[in-house]
Amino acid sequence: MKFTDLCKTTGLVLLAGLTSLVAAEFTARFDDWLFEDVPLLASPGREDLFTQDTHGRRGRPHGRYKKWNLNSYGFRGPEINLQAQPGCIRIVVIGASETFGLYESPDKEYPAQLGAMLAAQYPHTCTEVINTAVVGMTLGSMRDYWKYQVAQFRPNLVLIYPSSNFYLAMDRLNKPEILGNTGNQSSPDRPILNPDIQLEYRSRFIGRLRDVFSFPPYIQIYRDQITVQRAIAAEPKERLFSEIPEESLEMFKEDLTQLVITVKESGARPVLITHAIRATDPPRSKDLPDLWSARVFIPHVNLNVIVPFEHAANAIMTQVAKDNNIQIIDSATSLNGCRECFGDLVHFSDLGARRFSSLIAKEIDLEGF
Amino acid sequence: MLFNSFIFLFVFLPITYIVFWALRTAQHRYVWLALSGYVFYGYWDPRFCLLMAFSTLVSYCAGLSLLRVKDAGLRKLSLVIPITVDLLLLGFFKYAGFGLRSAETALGLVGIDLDLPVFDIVLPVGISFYTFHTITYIVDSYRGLIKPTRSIWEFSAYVSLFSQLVAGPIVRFRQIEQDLDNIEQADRRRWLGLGISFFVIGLVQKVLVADTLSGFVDPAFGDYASLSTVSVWLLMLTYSFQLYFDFCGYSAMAVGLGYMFGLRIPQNFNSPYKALDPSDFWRRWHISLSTAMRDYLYISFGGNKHGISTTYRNLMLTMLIGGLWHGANWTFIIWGFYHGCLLILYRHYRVLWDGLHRILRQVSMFILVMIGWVFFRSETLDIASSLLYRMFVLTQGEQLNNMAILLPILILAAFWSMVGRNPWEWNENREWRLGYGMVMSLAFGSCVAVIAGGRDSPFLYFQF
Repeated sequence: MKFTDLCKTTGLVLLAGLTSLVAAEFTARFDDWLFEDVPLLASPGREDLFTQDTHGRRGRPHGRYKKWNLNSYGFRGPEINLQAQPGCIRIVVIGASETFGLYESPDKEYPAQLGAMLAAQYPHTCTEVINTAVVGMTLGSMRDYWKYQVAQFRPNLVLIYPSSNFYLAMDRLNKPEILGNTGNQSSPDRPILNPDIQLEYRSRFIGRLRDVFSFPPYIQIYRDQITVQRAIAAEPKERLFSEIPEESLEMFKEDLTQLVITVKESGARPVLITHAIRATDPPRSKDLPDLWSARVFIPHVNLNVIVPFEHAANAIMTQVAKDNNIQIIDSATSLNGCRECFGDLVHFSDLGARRFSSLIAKEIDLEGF
Repeated sequence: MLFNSFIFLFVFLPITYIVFWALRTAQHRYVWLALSGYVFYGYWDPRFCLLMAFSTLVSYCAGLSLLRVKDAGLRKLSLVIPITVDLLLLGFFKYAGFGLRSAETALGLVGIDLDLPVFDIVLPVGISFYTFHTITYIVDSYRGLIKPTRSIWEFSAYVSLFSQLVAGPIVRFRQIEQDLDNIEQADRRRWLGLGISFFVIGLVQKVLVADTLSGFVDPAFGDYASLSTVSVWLLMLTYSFQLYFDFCGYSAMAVGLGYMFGLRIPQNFNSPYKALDPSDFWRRWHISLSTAMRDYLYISFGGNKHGISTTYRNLMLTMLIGGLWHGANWTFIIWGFYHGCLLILYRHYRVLWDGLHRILRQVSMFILVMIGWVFFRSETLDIASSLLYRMFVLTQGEQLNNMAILLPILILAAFWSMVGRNPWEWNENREWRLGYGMVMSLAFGSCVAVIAGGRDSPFLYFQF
């Protein structure tokens, strides 16, 4: 092939590639506009589902992004009334991303499945399950969230499913920042999907590719290891630990106890649920990709601390339940190590959410309402 | 592996293509095509490859035997044994459960309650198609229409050719024999442009039209009992276009892929919704199947050589078998029966029908075909009868969702399928210029964006 022909062919291929990319970006936006009502020029993300105000982080009323739809109170699920229907048992589920639902298909997140199961199990009793979870919410911030956002719905029963692994990110050095819950802020006044103030350009086509593309596990582990090494390089040595951080467990116990007391004081009955994970103790080799992915968020924690910490936190939950004379449902014993039940270390798949909600439906005590 | 998946578009196809053209001898190219076909097929379930390899081997040996044996009796054996083996495999994997269920029901009706075993057999993808390929090869070899190949790799490349492996078109060996024989001399540059054009148009039909329509069809079918009369008609209209664009898109992609590898795969759709009568429809819809049914069933039964009633019987038998070939369900048999009736009625009242205005015939034919799709899409006869009841007895009920989006899409789909050009007409005398290349790039980019959005549903005909 002549040099000029080669240049011409390369130029044409590049032009075709560029044209395809422009078309892909436009189509992604048009498709979102047509089927999701997303303005053509907006660049929404999952963070647009949440907002932050003086009382902390919460769901944005009518927030909408992909499969996630929030109601007028900023809760995932259908519209609800402030007052429960007379004679209806109102159950509120409070937690973080595991409860909010990440990997499950729409209406397959465990609170939604629990609602359907209870309705089938108690056909003559009215029950209502409200998913008040917020992605990234720690136990420390749940007390304020309860007081200012959730308590007004006067639930009869409050299911608490805390993400104990957040506390691995908290040691004494880090506590003030975490308790302030300043991560992932977005302005409360910023209406979702308003194109006028979307100054940041994010390619929606690349966003779509990110959603569908995943590296093979061995490559993903390598990428996670690099990320962790970079993060560790910036950490002070006293923050790196290879044993269960006792102060984190103490904080977990303190925050959980306070939340339980606050819920009880408001007249609702709290129920604790132990935290289930995909890995076993000791972890299997197939658990390593999940553990490394988790460690990206807690780089200063040695890999062999993650699972024992989960066990220790669950033991504390059992103790807190006993101390406060409340029910505890042990999901960890039932689900830990079930690979198909999770999308990653902690977040449920459709199947996991079904098993989890089925366990709750079986164990939950609705007597006395 | 689906044609409309990233793994196919950006990994499998480029690697297969580059290696294929880097190889120089015909034998190497056969081996490469055969291996890539098995990789493509095994991506669903590697176990299925064994079945296909067995079927290939049986048919290849039958071909060799027909090449060497001159004795009429032995030749007949070389015909019957491999076809029986192929049909037994197909029967076991596809029809065993259906047969037992039907027998149980039939015996129950005469008061004999039997509890026959329930087989939960996984249907290997595309088994109906590659079985058809091998059977046509054996029959054509027996009839002397083709000279069976001595190269197992050439034959394997034909059976496992990934472009037409799982959902057709049903390519007969004689249709690509010449291209396979000349595969060493194939002109890559000549065929690439045409291949890309066919493939991209097919991708647009599948991803942008059919998969978009499927977003309306699937939820509505899930809730069919609550639909109003108008909604059911709209639903069937939507499904008619979904099915056409899905399958026509797949066929165009298969043809495009064939061209990329120097193989001319015949046309499978010729704007079937432009058909003016039932015969015309079957000359335009899934042409490779209807011609195969004509050549291997209808003509074998005697065709139209023995009087009107025998012709009608042959037509009905052919259509019933055609229906059953689509799936092991009474709905498909009734669909075949329905089309058999249409063909017979048309033959009987041809003069009357042909005297009608052209537009009236086209619209009427489309409506008749659409009614037939009720059986084709319904999972059970109860669902089919409920839908038909709602179509013909005025019923109150729900509207389809997102009508404001659906109606413009339906209008575009109707225009393209009933008035516009099909991929074969589109590519007739096509010359590649810069502008056309840019149009193809735009279309490809749009499809990739939609696939990335999660709308990469399997092809409807994969289930057959």
